[in-house]
Amino acid sequence: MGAVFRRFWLPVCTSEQLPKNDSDPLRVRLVGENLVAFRDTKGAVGLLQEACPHRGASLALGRVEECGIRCLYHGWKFGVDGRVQETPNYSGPAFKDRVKARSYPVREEGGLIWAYLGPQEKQPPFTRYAFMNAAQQNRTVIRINVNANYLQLVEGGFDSSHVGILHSNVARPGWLDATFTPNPDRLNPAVLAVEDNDPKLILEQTDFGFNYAAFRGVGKANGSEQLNVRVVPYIMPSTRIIPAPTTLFTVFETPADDENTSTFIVIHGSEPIDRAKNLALLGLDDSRFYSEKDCVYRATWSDQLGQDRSRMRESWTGLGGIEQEDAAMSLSMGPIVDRTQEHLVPADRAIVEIRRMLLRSAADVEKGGDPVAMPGDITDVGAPDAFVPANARDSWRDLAPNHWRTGT
Amino acid sequence: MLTREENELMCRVGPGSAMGDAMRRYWLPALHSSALPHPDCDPQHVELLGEHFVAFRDSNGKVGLLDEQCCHRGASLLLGRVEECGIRCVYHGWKFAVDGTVLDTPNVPDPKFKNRIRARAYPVREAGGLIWAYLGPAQKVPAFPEWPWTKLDAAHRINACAVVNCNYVQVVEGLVDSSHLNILHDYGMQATSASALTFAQKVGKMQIDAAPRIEAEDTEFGFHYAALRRKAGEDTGTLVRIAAFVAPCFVANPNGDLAFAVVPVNDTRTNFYHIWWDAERRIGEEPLRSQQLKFVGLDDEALDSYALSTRTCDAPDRPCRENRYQQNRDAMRTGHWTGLHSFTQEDAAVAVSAGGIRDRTKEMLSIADVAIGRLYRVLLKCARQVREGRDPVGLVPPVDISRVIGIEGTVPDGQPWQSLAPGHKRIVSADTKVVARSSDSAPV
Repeated sequence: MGAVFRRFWLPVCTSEQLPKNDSDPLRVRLVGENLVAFRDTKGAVGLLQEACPHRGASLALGRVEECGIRCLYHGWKFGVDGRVQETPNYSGPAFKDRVKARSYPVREEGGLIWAYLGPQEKQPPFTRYAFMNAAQQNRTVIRINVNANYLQLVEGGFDSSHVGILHSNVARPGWLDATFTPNPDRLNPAVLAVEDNDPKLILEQTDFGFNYAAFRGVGKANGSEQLNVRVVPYIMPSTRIIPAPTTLFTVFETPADDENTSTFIVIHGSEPIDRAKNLALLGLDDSRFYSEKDCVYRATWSDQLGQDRSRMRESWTGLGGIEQEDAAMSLSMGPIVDRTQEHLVPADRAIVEIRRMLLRSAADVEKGGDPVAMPGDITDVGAPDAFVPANARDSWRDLAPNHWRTGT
Repeated sequence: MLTREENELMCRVGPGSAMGDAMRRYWLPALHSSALPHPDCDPQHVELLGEHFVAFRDSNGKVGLLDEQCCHRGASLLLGRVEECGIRCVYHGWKFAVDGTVLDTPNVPDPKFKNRIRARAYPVREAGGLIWAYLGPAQKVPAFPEWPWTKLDAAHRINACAVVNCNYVQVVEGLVDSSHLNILHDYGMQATSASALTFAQKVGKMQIDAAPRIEAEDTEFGFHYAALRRKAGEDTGTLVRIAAFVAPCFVANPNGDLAFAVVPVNDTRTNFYHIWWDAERRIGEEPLRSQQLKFVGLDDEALDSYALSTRTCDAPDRPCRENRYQQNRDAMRTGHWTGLHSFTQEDAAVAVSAGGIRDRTKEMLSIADVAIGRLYRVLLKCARQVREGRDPVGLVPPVDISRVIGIEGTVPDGQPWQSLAPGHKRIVSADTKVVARSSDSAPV
């Protein structure tokens, strides 16, 4: 699976984590590799192996200056492309042209730093997402490091039927008195859920991966049965777009290693985004569990994964926000959940499709082939949430006309 | 001394291990009843033999023990809602009864679906202040062990548990080892003379002789042994203290009113349950209860501060080599033998200091350790029996636990010590099934 992920452009860190030219370098763990990211004097970003190629000291301790990063140990200096600029302890002039630090192609777009870690000859075109076209003030990027395998987080995020249960507090605020009260919040993706926890799913493969369309009955309007339909794209290898009333949440689950995941959430819309308010609705405003400084999500069993059971009379989960709830589920399974013990049901069909796609990609890549889908320019891929008449449910495809366009 | 293979066979209790399979054939204490104080209270995490479970008490007061991970997609049921006669996973709302019946699956339309699946649930009993569980094969559930204290009201017993960060065998070793009492517990034993507690007076008698003669014999339930001491200042008569080890992990103390269950949490952590009982005195009530627990270092405060409780057993400052097991060496210079808090902390420190799983290829057992060697033999027998597809010690035919006692007494010269425990069926030869009552045996 590592070979599959290395065939895609992956988010490495947020632009904010390298805030200015010659700012402090950042240690990065990505698909099991230890790397260092830095922004040079001209603003270009480099991603190198963390260990200095000379004798292995960490470049994360290095000096970032004069268009390069310099190892503290013997002063070897490297450019963003890995080229050796100086080797003060070896004067042979040709030497520095013969060695190179392992470096990776890097792009900076949409508030994120991206890298390609795969074989050079297979490098795909850079993937463009809708949020990359949004004005900076209409977009915000949040990173959360969670101590669980990426697939647990992927499966939780792409799971329509948990929304009305796990996120009861925001998805159906009336759960306590058994009446469905829609949440008036305009920011929250969970408020689009309606009172039907058994959605019918239609799955269809696309260029970038696949879609699910989840249908839920909502009763009659204008004399005919209406359905709520939510179309959610799964973008290979581990990305989803979730709709909220006025914004879209594009979420990347990027493996740091087998047991740790960097979740990048990009929220964008057509109006300025209130970052603090979004952090609050995710439950990331609670300094006991999350700090924007290091992006680590800290809840453990020693604090009941953040659950306050004394609040469970009025709070479904006793957890404070949707990311707290989602993270608690993945953390509670242990770093790699034992899938030999599970009981999947029809509501889990999208989960099964993700596994199928990933496993098929792994098998194909191992045989020298390509992953089953590669996103190219998907700036016109979104996540519509709307109402359609029950007798014309096929009209949902008109809501996402660009999801099937294929280059071949 | 054991070979490395024997030591591993005896100590490892995880799923699939021979000793683990043997342990799973018995009813084992899983937690205190008091940990689930009322219907629909918060669920509790239980780790037993290296497996993780959730225990909960439903709206009718019934206790359930299920696998911790929800059988749908593996979220922990410890986060679940306990309500309306079941526990409900907060992830997708699947709801389970104490017996594992699936009561509700809100994200599945087919109403019959929930009848086709079951959560893995384990038989549970509540007795003697403990919630007991059986984790073995369903067709082999043994009779429930009716100890004398399992039927007593809470007012007549004291339950306490220390969480010890080492393998269970190390903890049992301390319970079948008479010769450490006058040494390791020197300080506490001196205090016994002055104490009004029955417990203190009973153990106080042992101060007379630090090198008792030890005799051990196999029995139908495991083994029993006697520490034999000459009565102080007298030429005749023998002071006898008999302890019984009941497979796989129970000990009846010679005091006669104290039993232990030494239950493996995993290979390197042990729940060390103590049960005192008294059919007449209301020892479970204050102030007797707290006096007893304080005297041996089992009060909540002492357990918490020495990392011997579930709350603190993972604390970074738990007793370990780096902090010299929290030993107070200043106190040692001014007359305290060990510099450790009390009986419980002393026993825990020596057990933990031997390592997570003690290396028994490097020990030198002496004549004082006769019962330790016997313990190894019985435990290894249990593991091998189960590995060979047979029933482990004491289950077939079932032992009547109510006849198993620990006892202290004096026997006149010429009378066998076994006469004090006439209900213990001895196995005269390990190879044959010839069984004799203790009262038939030869003189000491």
